[in-house]
Formats: sequence, structure tokens, C-alpha cells
Amino acid sequence: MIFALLAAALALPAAAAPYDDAKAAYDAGNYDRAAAAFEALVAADPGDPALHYDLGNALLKAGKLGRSSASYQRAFDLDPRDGDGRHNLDFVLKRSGEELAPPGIPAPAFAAFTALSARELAGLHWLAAWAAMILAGLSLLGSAERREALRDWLLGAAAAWALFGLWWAGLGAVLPAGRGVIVAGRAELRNGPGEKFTVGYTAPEGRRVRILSESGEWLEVGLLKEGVKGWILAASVEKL
Amino acid sequence: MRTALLAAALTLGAAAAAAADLTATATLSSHQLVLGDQIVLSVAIQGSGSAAPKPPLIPDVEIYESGKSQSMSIINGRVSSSVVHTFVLNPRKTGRFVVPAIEVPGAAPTPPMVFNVDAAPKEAPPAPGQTPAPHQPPVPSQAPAPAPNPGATPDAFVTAQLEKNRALVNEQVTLVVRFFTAVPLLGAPQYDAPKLTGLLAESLGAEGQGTTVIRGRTYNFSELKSALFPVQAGRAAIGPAVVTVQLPRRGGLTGDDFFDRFFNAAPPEARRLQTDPLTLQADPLPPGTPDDFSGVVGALTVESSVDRTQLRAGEALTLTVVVSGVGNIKSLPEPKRPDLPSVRFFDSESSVKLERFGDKVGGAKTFKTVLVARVSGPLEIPPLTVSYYDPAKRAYARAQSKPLRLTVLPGDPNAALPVVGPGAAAAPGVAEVAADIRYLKAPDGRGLPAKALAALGSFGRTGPWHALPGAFLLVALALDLRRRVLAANPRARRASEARPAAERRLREAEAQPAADRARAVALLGEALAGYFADKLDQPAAGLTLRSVTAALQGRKPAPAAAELARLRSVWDELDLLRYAPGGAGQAEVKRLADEIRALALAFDKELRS
Repeated sequence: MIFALLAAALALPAAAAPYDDAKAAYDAGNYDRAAAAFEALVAADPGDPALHYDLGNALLKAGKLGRSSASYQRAFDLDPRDGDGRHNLDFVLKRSGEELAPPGIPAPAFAAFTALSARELAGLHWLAAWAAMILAGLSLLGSAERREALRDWLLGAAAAWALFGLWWAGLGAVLPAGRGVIVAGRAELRNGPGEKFTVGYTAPEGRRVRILSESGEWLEVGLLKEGVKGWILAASVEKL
Repeated sequence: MRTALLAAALTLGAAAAAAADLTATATLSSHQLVLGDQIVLSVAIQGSGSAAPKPPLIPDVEIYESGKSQSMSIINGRVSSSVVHTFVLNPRKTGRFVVPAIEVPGAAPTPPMVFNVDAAPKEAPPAPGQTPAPHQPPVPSQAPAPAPNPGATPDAFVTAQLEKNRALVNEQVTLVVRFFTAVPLLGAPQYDAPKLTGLLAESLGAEGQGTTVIRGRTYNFSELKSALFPVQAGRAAIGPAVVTVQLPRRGGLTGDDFFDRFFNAAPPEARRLQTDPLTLQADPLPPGTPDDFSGVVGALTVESSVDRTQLRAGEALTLTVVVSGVGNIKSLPEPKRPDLPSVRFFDSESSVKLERFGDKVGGAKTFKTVLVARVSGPLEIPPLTVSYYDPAKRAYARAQSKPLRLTVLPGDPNAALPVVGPGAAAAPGVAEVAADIRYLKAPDGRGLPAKALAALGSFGRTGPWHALPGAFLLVALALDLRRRVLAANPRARRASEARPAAERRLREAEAQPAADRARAVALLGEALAGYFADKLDQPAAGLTLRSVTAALQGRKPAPAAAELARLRSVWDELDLLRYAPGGAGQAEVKRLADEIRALALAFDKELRS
């Protein structure tokens, strides 16, 4: 199964011509058209971080800060080690009053912490878990000599399991699941799911939020940076 | 004549002062304010002489000279003046600010003062279904102060009247001070302007003069108008305006005969006339203040220009921005500079030219900024915007200039850097010109390790498959536990291995060739006896049917009688064959082996309980 997944991931896409069209539109300054073309490419291959990155570029140039931030965030989630992707994401986050690294955390430390994506950490965690459990089973079933031979391998696998598990959990706390990006300008966060509730906060376009719950056309969101929450129209948030 | 004297007294400057014998005191209108409000610094100079304070320099605070008011008296030929110079302080940021000692030539410096600027409080959002409270409509003007002693018309009196008694912060309100006299004045009147609290004033000059009839008596009047601007929300106070005049005593000038008037003239009567204090309610501006709000309540226009439209990279040009219109132009901040990374801006210089539009004060404020183009290419200076509050429309409005398009030619690499302002020389090396996003990225351009990690990520999402190693581990644990239990209890281990051992013998018996029937029968007997020896933990040698059945019947619960009967039958049959093995054919051996298997299976269940 692992080899099958690996082979599928290594398969080359056959989308060169549409990409060239999108790139040509971008280079000509026709950013709306470029964004539409990149959007189609992303829909065809949502696992390619470069396409999300390119879509973010086109959307930003077309003046859609929030949607470009969402695209960059998706590219970052898929390939956090890409320096260009980090740069562009940080660029748009600063425009909406945020930074890629949370307050108080040095940028190099955050870069090291996010060197592996949540998906990659999940994969490494499960790989180490498989190895540790199979080695443990073999040790239990084998002779004393076999147990001795497998002991170091088993300890290594167990340590890797714990390391990647804790790392994965930590990354989940910093970049939690169920996130979104505000795509409306000066969005209003109300104190309840409806127009009849007062506006508690306003938030700029491009600000990242965590989606806490849903009620009809409204989402309860928390602002990751400020730690405040409120209700916002679902149409004002693009889910990641 | 009287009007001229009054005007002369009102406009008389401190230039007439003689020797310096001065005391200077400085006061602030408030020591605590929020960002966006203004504060008034008043420097009062008292004594004989003429001096003007230098405006203090406070970092991050814009300071405008707002004018001065003065009163003057000449006693025994000595000029004594009291001049109050007013400065408007407009902080640009929050924090604690120190007004340094203000130096006045001929006077001791004033002590430093401190004021704090807090962040503007958050606007409370309107309740649902409720629109923000609009600005209160103007109320009818305050009635003029009645003439003193209405019963008997006075010889002279002074009134003060506000155009309206409620206004927005920084909205102009006109104050009119009128001096009425029905008798000739003896000497120049002395005018003391009202003390203002929470207000800035711009003089509109000595406006009107004329004659009017009040209660049948003819008065000459002069009026002085001032434009007042509330500095912050709340109640602003206008103190009494005072006019000191020398009036003829009643009856002293009534005779018709010149000599009678000359010899019987009474000394003049000094009369201090003053108005009642007034208050002005200043309301805050409505919510929704634009980011580029200038604080002006009135009407503005913006124009921008450059001294040339073509230059080389590294060269400087002057950008001139003129904001003009009606309102408190003096306190107008510089329009926000455009975000042009390819241009370096230097500090601006500003100048103000005030004008009068009827009863409204306005003018133009000019900002001149030197800027240097860093890189070559077309350069557009985008429109500069200034927002203001339009009291007529009761809404915020925005004025903006037209964009300016320049051509920047490549600079001379050997030319010296322009020296404009402090720190103009740039350090050699790589200089960032503009921050921007990076260019497009070809799809799937990642390396093999990244793709392998991505595939690993897909492996992490395989869901239920991750239960497999756990199940394997559980099975291994169970088997290991069983092995440990058996190792700790040899009897139980022997009993548990009884059937596999019997099965091995049975297979061996079935595999014996036809010629070796005795060996097959012996193996069948060993399988049966060995099974029960292991189960009952007894030596196989010498085990008899009787001892087996006795032992089985002694167990509680005892095996079923039918099973015991099957055991006896098979045991007896094997005993017979043991002594006549030739009678056991291949099929017979197979049948007996199956019988023993069935017995072993049955007694496994019987003996388990």
C-alpha cells in the first residue's frame, strides 16, 4: 500500500498547457483571468502546493487579499518548507496585521517547528507506530535471542513514535484543524448568530480564524492572534 | 472716533512695551487626553515690556501657533501688558509627553509640564436596529445678553453672543462681542478678551459698527467677531469679555454753557463693563471616522504638484500639497503619504495662510516635501486624500488630489548621493527597494524527498488500516501471556499439549505401512494412553483403563457416562488389536485414529471445566 501511494504521488501531472495559459495571463497583468485559470488547475490537482501558491499570487495581484491568504495557507500546509511560500504567506499576513510566526516565538524556531506539515507528521507518526507495534509483536512471539536482537530497533521505533506523535499534537495546537480566512473587508464579528446581535469586533480581510461552530448562515470563529471570538457570516470566511 | 479707539485698543500689540519686567506662566488646557484630541498650551506674559515665547519643540507632537490675546494699561506713562500666546498641540501618538521649559526673553523660563495621551476609546457599536445618534441639530442662537439695568438704559454696556451653543468638536462657532455706548467716551477703552477653556480662537477682526436705538435711546456700537473651535468633547467655557471705559459722570456734561461745563466738570467715571460667561457644548464627531480623517469640520480640497515631472534616479524633487477650504486649517495634519517603496520621503515643511469667508475662517495649508526617486522607471504618485466632516451634509467626506505621473531616468552611477536632510547618505550594499510577493512556481516542482514525505502523509490518512499492527500486537501479547502461564505451571502445560502430542502419534500411526500393523496399533495405543496420562498428569507407563476411568470419575464434575463408555470401547478394541494386530487393516487404523481424535476433542471440553 505504501508503495502504491508513493507511486501515485510521484506520477507527473499532464497539465502543462493550461498552466502556460495561466502563467501568460499573470505575466500580462490579467490577474483575474490568471486566478480563474489557476483555480481550475487547483481543482484538478488539489495536492500540489505550487498551484495553490500560484493561485495565491494571482488573487493577491487581483486585489483579493483574503482569498490569496487562504491559498497561500493551503500551500503552506502542503509544503511548509518552501521558502517562497512562507515569504508570500508572511507578506499577506502582515497586511492583515498578523505574522506567520506567533507572537513571542522567534521566526527560526517557528520555521523549525513547522518544517514538517501536519500530514507528514501524521504519516511519520503512523509509520513509527506500525514499526514499533510489529517489532513488539515479533519480540513477544520470538525467542529470547530474537528479543535481544530486536530490542534496539524496538526502542528506536517507540521513541520515533513518541516524538512524531508529540510534534504532530503540538502542531495541531498551533495550526489547529477547522481554520478559515476572512475574505470580506472589515468583517463584523457579532455576539450571536444573527443581525440582531451587536457587533463585538471588526476584523480585517485576510485574518486567520478558527471555526468553532456553525449555525445556519453563521460561523462562530475565534481570532487566532487576539484570542477573541464572535459570529460571522459564513460567506465572509473561506474554510481551509 | 470711539470705534476707532476701541479698534486701536483691541489691535494694539506688545510692541508698545518698554523695558522688560516680565513674568511668564504656562498652562495646559488638559493633562490627559485621547489620541485625536488637541490640547491648548497658553503662555501668559505679564509685565511691562514686549516679548514673545518660542514655540516648544516636542517630538511626535505637531504644534501650531493659534494666536494671542492681550490686555494693556498705561498707568503714569508706564505700559503694562498681559499677553496670552496660545499654541495648539496635536499629538501623533499615545504616551507621556513633556512640554519643556518655555523661554521668554526677559523672563524666567516656565517649569516643564507633562501630559498623557491615551488611545482613543473603542466606539460602542449601535444596538441592533438602532442607527447611530446623528449630530444634534443646531439650536437657535443664544439670545444676546440683556443690557444691564433694563429699567433705566445705561450709558454703555457690552454683550457677547454665540452663533449657537452646541457644536461638534473642531466645528467653528462665531462669538460676537458688541460694545454699546450712548455717551461720549473719555479716553480709549480697554478691552480684555474672554478667557477660553477648551476652545481655540481665530480673530475675525473688528467687523461692524453703527448706530442703533434701544428703548428710545440712541447707541453707537462696535462689534468684534471671533471664530471658536472646540478642542475636545464636553463643555467649553467662554469667560466674560471686559471693556473698561472712562465715562462722564451723570450731570457733568449736561450744561449748555461752555464755561459751566468747563468749570463744573466732574472727573470721569471708570466703568468696568463685562459680559456674562457663556458655555458651549461640544459633541463628539459621529462614529465611522475614516482612517485619513484630518479633524477638520468644514470643507476641504486637496491639490498636489511637483516642481518637475522628469528626473533621474537619486535626484530630489519637491512635492507640494495644498489643502485649502473652510475650517480649522491651522491644526490640519499632513495628508498621509502614499506607500511608495521606490521613493524616499523626507520631512515636510508646512505653512498656513488664513482667509476669511464671510463669518467663516479658512485658508490654505501648504506642505512641501522633498522626495528622492530610488529607482528608474515610470513613477506615479497616487492621489493624496484628506477626510473631513461636512456639517452641512452631516457626513464624512473625502477630498483627493489628482495622481501625478513622473518619469525617472536611470541615475548617474558616479553621481554623489543627494544630500537632503539628516542621514540622507545611504550605506553601500544591497538595499531593499520594495517588498513584494515572489514569482510563480512551476507545478510539482518539489524534489523527491518532499514527494516521498507527501506520500507518507497520504499513508497517515489510511484510517482503519492503522488498526492492523495493533491487532497483531494484541495477538502476540495473548500468545506470550499463554506461554508464560504454561511455563509457570508444568501440569497445565502438559495438559494443554496432550492433544497435539496425541495428534502427532495418530498421524504417525496412519502413516505406517500396511506391513507394520503392530507398530500402527502400538502408536494408536500410545496416543490414547499418552493423552490421558498428560491430561491427568500421570506417567503413561502402566496406565490402565481402570486407573483412567477411576481418575476421570474422581474429578468434579465427572465426565459424561457416554463419553466414558466410548473410552472403554476404544480402549478395549485397542487391547484386542494389540494382541492380534494382523486383524487391523488400513481402514481400521484410520477409523480408530478418528475415534481417538473425537475422544480427545470431547475430553478436552470435559476436562476444561
